This record gives sequence, C-alpha cells and structure tokens, in this order.
Amino acid sequence: MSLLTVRNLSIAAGARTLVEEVDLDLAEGEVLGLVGESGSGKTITCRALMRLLPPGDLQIATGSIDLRGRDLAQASEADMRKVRGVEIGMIFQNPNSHLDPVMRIGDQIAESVRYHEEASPRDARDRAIELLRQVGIPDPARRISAYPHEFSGGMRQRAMIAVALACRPKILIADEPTTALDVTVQAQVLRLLLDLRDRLGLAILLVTHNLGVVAQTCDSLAVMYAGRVMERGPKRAVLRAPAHPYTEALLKCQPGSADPAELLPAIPGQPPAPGAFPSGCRFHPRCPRAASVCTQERPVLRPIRDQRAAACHFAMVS
Amino acid sequence: MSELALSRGNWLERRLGALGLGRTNLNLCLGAAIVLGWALVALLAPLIAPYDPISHNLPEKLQGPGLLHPFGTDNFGRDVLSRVMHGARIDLQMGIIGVLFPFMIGTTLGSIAGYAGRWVDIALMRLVDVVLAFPFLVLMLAIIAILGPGLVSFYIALALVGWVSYARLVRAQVLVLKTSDFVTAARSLGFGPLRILFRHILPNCIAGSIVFSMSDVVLVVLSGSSISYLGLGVQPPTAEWGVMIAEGQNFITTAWWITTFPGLAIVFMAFGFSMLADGLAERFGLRQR
Repeated sequence: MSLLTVRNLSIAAGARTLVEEVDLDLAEGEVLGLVGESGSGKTITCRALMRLLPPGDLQIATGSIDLRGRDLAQASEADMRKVRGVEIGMIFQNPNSHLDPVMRIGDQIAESVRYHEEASPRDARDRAIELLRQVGIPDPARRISAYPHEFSGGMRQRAMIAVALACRPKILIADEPTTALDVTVQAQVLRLLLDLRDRLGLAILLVTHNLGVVAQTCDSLAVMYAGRVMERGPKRAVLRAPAHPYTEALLKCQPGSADPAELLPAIPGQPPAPGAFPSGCRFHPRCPRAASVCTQERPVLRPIRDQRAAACHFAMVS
Repeated sequence: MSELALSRGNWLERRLGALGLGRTNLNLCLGAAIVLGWALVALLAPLIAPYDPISHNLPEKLQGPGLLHPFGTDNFGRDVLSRVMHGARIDLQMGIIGVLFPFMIGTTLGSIAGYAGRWVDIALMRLVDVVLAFPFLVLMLAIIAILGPGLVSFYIALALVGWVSYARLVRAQVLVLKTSDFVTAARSLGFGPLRILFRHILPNCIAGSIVFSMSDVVLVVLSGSSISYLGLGVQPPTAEWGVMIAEGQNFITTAWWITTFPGLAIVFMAFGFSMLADGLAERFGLRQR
C-alpha cells in the first residue's frame, strides 16, 4: 500500500517551471531512489514534499502530495508543522551545517520529542540515548552531551539521522545523505539506513546522483532530468535494461561499466537551464536516438513492461 | 596543532603557559580581573574607604596627595580616594544597568525584525534610522531634560536610544542565519518560528552582541559621566566620577588631583571592559588572531 503518493507535482518560480508533472509512489518499507544530475530538480522535489521550498517565489504550482488521505500540497502551515519531523523526517547532504552548532547532540534529538510529544525531560533524554544507540554511536549515554563539532563527519550524519527519527516518522527523506562523506563511511551510512528500514518499517526516499548508491540500497528508482521524471520502475529491471536513453547514458558513465583503462564516457552537452528547456523531449539535444518527433512532441511518462514507466517515444511497450 | 598554537602566542602567554596556566586568554583574564577588582571595590566601598565620601572637612581642603590622603582632598576637604571608591558603585551600576536594557530590547526587536522580514522589518528599521538620525548625546540630553535630571532618567534615555546598535547587529546576523542549513533542518522537524528564532538562531548570534555590550559598557560609563558632568545625571554631593571631574575643574590649575584621579578611574574601568570584550571575542572565535 502506498504511504506517500505524489501526482502531477509541478514547482514553479514565477513563470519558470523547475519541476514538472512528477509522479512518485512510496510504499511502507520501500527505498525509492530519486536519481538525476545536479539541477534536475531532485532536491526541490524533496523540499516541496515537506513544503520547505527555499524562500523566494518558488511554489507548488499544481499537483497533490497524498499522505494517508491528506493532501500536503494544500495543507496549512500549522498542519505541516505536525507532519514535519512527526510523519516525515528529513536528513540532508551536509551534516556539518545541518546540526545546530551550539546545541548538544542529545538536546537536539530530545528537542523534537519534547516539542511534539510533550515528553518529560527524562523520557526525552532516554529516547535520545536509545536513538544514538540505534544509529550505532558508541557510548551513547556519554555522547548525548557532546557538541556537533566533537563528532566526526560520519558520526554527525548518524546523529542527524537520529535527530530526524526522534519522533518515529514513518517516512524518511534523505537528500544526498552520503555525498559529503568519504567512501568507507558512505557504505556504513547506507547500511544503517537499510537496517533502520528493516527494523522500523521506514519508507525512504533516497535522493542521489550516484547510481552505485541506488544499486546497493534501493528497491525502485525514478530518474529525473530537467525537472521531469524520465523513467521509473523497480531497480533491478531498470538498471539491467534501461528503457530511456538518458538512463542508459547515465549507466554508461558509471565507473566499472566500461574498460577500466579507458576514460569514462560522458553525456555530451550540458543539462538545460530552468526556463530554457528545449521543446519536445527535454533530453533530445543530448540524445543519441533523437529523431524529429522528439524535437516537437513531448513524450508522456507511460507504462511499459514490468511495472515500469518511461517518457520516451522509442520505449518499447510489451 | 597545540605546538603550533603555542608558538604563535606572544611572550607573556608563553610565560604564563610555563607557569602552568596553559594557553591562557590573556585579554580575557586581565579584563575580567580588572572588572572584578572594580566590582570588589564597589561592593566593599563603605568598609575599605578611609573617609566619608560626602561630609565636609574644610580645614583639610585642597591638600595634595600624601600619606593621609593618597589621592588628596577636594575643595570641601573630602578624601578623593574615598570618593573614587564610592563612585565605583554608581559608575559600575550605570555601566551594567545602562547596557542590560538596551541589550535586551535591541536583541529582541532586532531578531524579530530580521526573522519576520517584510513590513515588521521595514517598520523597525525605519525606527532605528529615526533614532540614529539624532546625535547620540543630543538625543540623550533631550530625553533627560524632558524626564528631569537623575539616574533613572538616564537609564530610560539609554534604553530608548541605545537599543538601536544591538538591533542592527542582531538583525544582520539573523538575516544570515535564517536561511542557514541548520535552520532549515530545524524547520524540517516541525518547529514553530518562535522556537526556531529563540532556541536556534539567537544562541548562534548572541556572542557578537555580548562582545559589543562589553565595549558598550565603556561608552555608557563615559556618557553617564558626561551627562553627570553636564549636571543632568547624578547630582552632587553624591560621589560619581563625572560629577567629581565637573566639580574639580575650577581647581584644575591649583589642585590637579581632584580631576585626575576620577578621570583615571574611568579610563581604568573602560580599559578593563574593553579587554574583557577582546578576550570574549577571541574566546567565541569571532576574531582570528
């Protein structure tokens, strides 16, 4: 059963549309990877789900975000405050800057427990210790009184996960949670997320530009390009036989997919700037398979085989 | 790392390090010592002052510094040392109360302006501009003249005028911090604006205001003394440094000690607070050495 259902979500800044017609489904216990290059609209989509779009004229133009029968796109700010942290937790790319530097780790975890659940200081403290233990920080009873600067990068990311999970949300939005970490720590943090998924039944929306991360962790994935979903479906099927040329090109750029002695191939050209999206299929200027129909007609995201969908004129429908 | 840090310290700090005081923050220690010293003098003035600061003793008037009167006596025969000691009570009180209220008002209004933005910000900042359009002392004098001379009027005038510096300081930092990552993170936890402002943003930008308040104490003591000198603050015969200087200026050619010692007291207290400010700035990491 789908926990979070996003339909036709568009995000616009004035006349410019940055994210268009995004559909996402997140089921209980599912890890959904949201993949794309920088500037493809992944982060903005996540922020929109929490209704935390950066200040300015960015806003949700159309679409619905359905969380257990409520449409978050229409919810009031007061209602959203009861959703954030309680039903949907969020972790960020850079744990160094997303923790309050002058507040003890334990207090940061306990704060939302006290705020949302009106727990006693004692209970909140116990929960903080328990959470730090769950995210694998040794000696949690002592560590709750440490400040963020006393933690290493990997531990800070763990602490941030503990903060986000303090009120036991069922959904975790992880915005590039491993990008700022070094490779060995990356694997640990991903394993921790999967472990938490198994133990808590957490649904995770994992934003990343790294297909390797997707391959290790996700159950399904959605590939975004220039603000649109190009392809989505179960991970295994999509990675084995991508239906969209963009997914295919991304896969070819991954280390390990080509001869190790050769330079990695790159997708020629640059992703388009928001507001200057090309007509028709937005990928057509860089697409090896582009034909004249691609320049004129925008392909819709349509179902193809094995619960997959792709937005390409040439995707095979079985 | 610690070796590098040690080698960068100056000679005195290395000596202190050798004495087992570690990497001491010299400014902080010395500043705190001077301020504490003045606080002690103020607290113990009735016990340690050798003479009564107010009652006249005309036979001993205008005596130069000597054994009986280390700082000499004034034109009424009052012991200048005793008056400087008692003056510390008034001047320290002036410095603390005179900073506390502007600090609280300015920090609150500044953070609200910075966080709320829009018309709240515009309204508050135009008010700041209005206050700043007047020369500081002139506005103070005008308000005190309306309220009537005295310390209470002085405090009220300071609260009305002095908050603007804090408001601008805090507003600028709140503007930066309100779009910072950890504030976004706090919002993603569903916290309301008041909690985010007062629990997350303010603690992160208060250090600058605290440092500024220490140097502000200097300004307040000086302006308090000048207001008293002009006859609108503390009234004679109360011992206050500004009053003492005002009273002694007629004798400056014949009895320099009446004005010099309270003047030095002001300088010395100001020195202590500025060192404390410097030391705190260093401690809070606001300044690279």
